[in-house]
Amino acid sequence: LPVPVLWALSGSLVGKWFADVDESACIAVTFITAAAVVVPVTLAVAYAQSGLTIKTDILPAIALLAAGTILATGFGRVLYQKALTVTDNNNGFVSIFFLLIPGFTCLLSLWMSRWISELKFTVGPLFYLGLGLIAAPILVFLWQSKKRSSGRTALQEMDMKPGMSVDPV
Amino acid sequence: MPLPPEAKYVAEQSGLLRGALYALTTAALLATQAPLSLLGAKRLSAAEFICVTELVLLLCVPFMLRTQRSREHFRALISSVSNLGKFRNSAPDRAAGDRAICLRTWARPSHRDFGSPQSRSFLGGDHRLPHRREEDPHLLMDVHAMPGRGVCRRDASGGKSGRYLFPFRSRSLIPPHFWRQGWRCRCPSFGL
Repeated sequence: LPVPVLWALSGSLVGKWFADVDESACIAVTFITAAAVVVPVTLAVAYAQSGLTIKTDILPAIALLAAGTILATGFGRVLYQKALTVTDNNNGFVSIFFLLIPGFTCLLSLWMSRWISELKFTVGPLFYLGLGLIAAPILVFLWQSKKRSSGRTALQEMDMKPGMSVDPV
Repeated sequence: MPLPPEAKYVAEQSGLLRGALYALTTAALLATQAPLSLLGAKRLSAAEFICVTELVLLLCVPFMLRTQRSREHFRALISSVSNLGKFRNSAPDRAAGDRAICLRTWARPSHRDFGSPQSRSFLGGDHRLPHRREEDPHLLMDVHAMPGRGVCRRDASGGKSGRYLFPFRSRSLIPPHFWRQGWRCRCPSFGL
């Protein structure tokens, strides 16, 4: 729970406070300021715990971690901020698409499990229940937006109808 | 000139569509993190994991600053980071200066911040204004204030130029009676 909450809060606050600033520049500054605090602390903790011995057999795992971080936190964060900017900081609208993340993750894990055995998962009733819970808000959102757009179209048609009879005063 | 409602609606819809595309791409990108990070999370300790993640994010920074605009904004933002804990604006930057509050107002010498020991030491002397009526045109001045930084400058028309503590830390906190003649669009050089 804290991850999506803090993620959305960060997006909204950056969108509100730095609306006139380039999104990439903003996110780059947040990365640098966060790293300036977090990296020394984590380095010290890691050194105290294990002496910072990185073996060659974990290098592939680190490479995968780096790829995931660059794609998700690097590019993803900037795109999220761009989405908020073009929608005028409409976090509700943007966040609804994030409900698709578990679905995308499942598909990717299913494909990658051919090479990484740890990514295998069981597709059972609980899995489908979870997918249903994710799909429900998306369907509600779709239904509501369809209803609203059809209502608006009807209103426009009524406004533009030529030769409407006007009751005499 | 305000947009007609139809154009506004079309612009809004276009923004939402672009936002939806960005959000979908973001969702796809975010979905890659869990499967790609799983092995690293299993084989590294929590501190090592966080450290590697942060270092990788630092590597992304040069790629984020490819355009001239983003580099300019980055420089402005980074130079303002050092001012976070400070009340005094010691290193004003151009981008921040452009966003400064510019208003024409009357000095309020009775305000507690004017002439306080703090402001005197900050100003390097006693710049207390003579007590006059608030509407006195001699005290009319252009104020360039940095929101949240608490510093303003007086370009007094016919008066002495100086620095004064600006008691309002954001635009929204300025009381209505300060806004006598609305906003001025002049961007200050802000050579404080």
